[in-house]
Amino acid sequence: MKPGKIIQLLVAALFTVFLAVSFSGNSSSYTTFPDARKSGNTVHIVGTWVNRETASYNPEEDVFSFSLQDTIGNISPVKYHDPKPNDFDKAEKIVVIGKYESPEVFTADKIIMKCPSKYGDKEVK
Amino acid sequence: MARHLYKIVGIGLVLYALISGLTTTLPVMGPMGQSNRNIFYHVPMWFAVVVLMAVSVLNSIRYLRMTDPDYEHKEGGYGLGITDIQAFESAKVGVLFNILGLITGMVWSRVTWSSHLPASRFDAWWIWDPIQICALVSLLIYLAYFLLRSTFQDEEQKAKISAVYNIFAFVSLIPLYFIVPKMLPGAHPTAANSDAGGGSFVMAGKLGGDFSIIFWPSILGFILIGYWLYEIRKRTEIAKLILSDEA
Repeated sequence: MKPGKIIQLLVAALFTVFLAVSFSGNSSSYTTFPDARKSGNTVHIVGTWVNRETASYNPEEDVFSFSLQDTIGNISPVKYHDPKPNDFDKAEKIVVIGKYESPEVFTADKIIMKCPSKYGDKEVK
Repeated sequence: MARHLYKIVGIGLVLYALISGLTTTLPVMGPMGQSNRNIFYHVPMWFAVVVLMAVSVLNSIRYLRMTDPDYEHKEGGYGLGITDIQAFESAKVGVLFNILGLITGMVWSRVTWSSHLPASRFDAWWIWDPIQICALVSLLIYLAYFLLRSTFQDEEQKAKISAVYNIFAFVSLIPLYFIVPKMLPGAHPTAANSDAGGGSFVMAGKLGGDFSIIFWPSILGFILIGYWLYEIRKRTEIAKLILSDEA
């Protein structure tokens, strides 16, 4: 084999390893609050933002706290170490990625705004 | 004229998708804002990928059939070489559209799912959504096809072995595009946990009239433009093959 080919194969192998490592570091399953509390693992939880009036941002600690209701109806307080994301009010569904660091409050490392799944004729509020 | 018709239709439809898709007043959808127009470009690219990969695998199958000793070759003697070129070139254009689809998806991800994150963060652009992972895996499978081809000196051996590989590559697209992302929850609107019957094929039944009237023509337009690119690449390579033979 030519040296060029060996380099290509090495690059491919390195990329595969990089992919495997970053994927395994990021893979976590979608679940619900009770399961997340029980397992204590990092998980994805899809939910809707509820009790909107109780949500607050503490600028000193840089913590945004809010309540999220998962798909089977459990409501849990969530804290996020950043200001309230833009478009947070408009998102139809919110995905929080994180875990229960204390038994009461779910700590979200990441927040994703889930898109509306209907490209309807009417405006989605 | 007739053989240029599809090119004219392709240009017309893509122009229509560009002009109409960017200027029509469309419903604004939550955090997506005006970025929902990307559905006219991002989604059709993946349709083009599937069609081009299908052209590729059909030529690979044809190649393998032609290596059968009982196969009756037409005159000219370039049949095998041309079939291999067709399989390779359509996979190349397919990979181009795959990369474009990933890029348009990353831009869209950045402004909708993760607009609150600074652009310097990788997860603002890439969230390891099941569909993203599947699309990336499909890209790697086809890059491996190119790598495999580049390791052979002997043209016949290269064509034959890579044709077999190409069949496996295409078959892998079926779970990667049509099954796994529909079964797993994720952020894409076709993911299993989406409202209004997630897990459906593309946006079936969820696309309002304002969107459909641009979306479906755009899909056909991108497929035709993709096919045209493949035709150009193919003819160039066939010309090279014949010239190198005569030289």
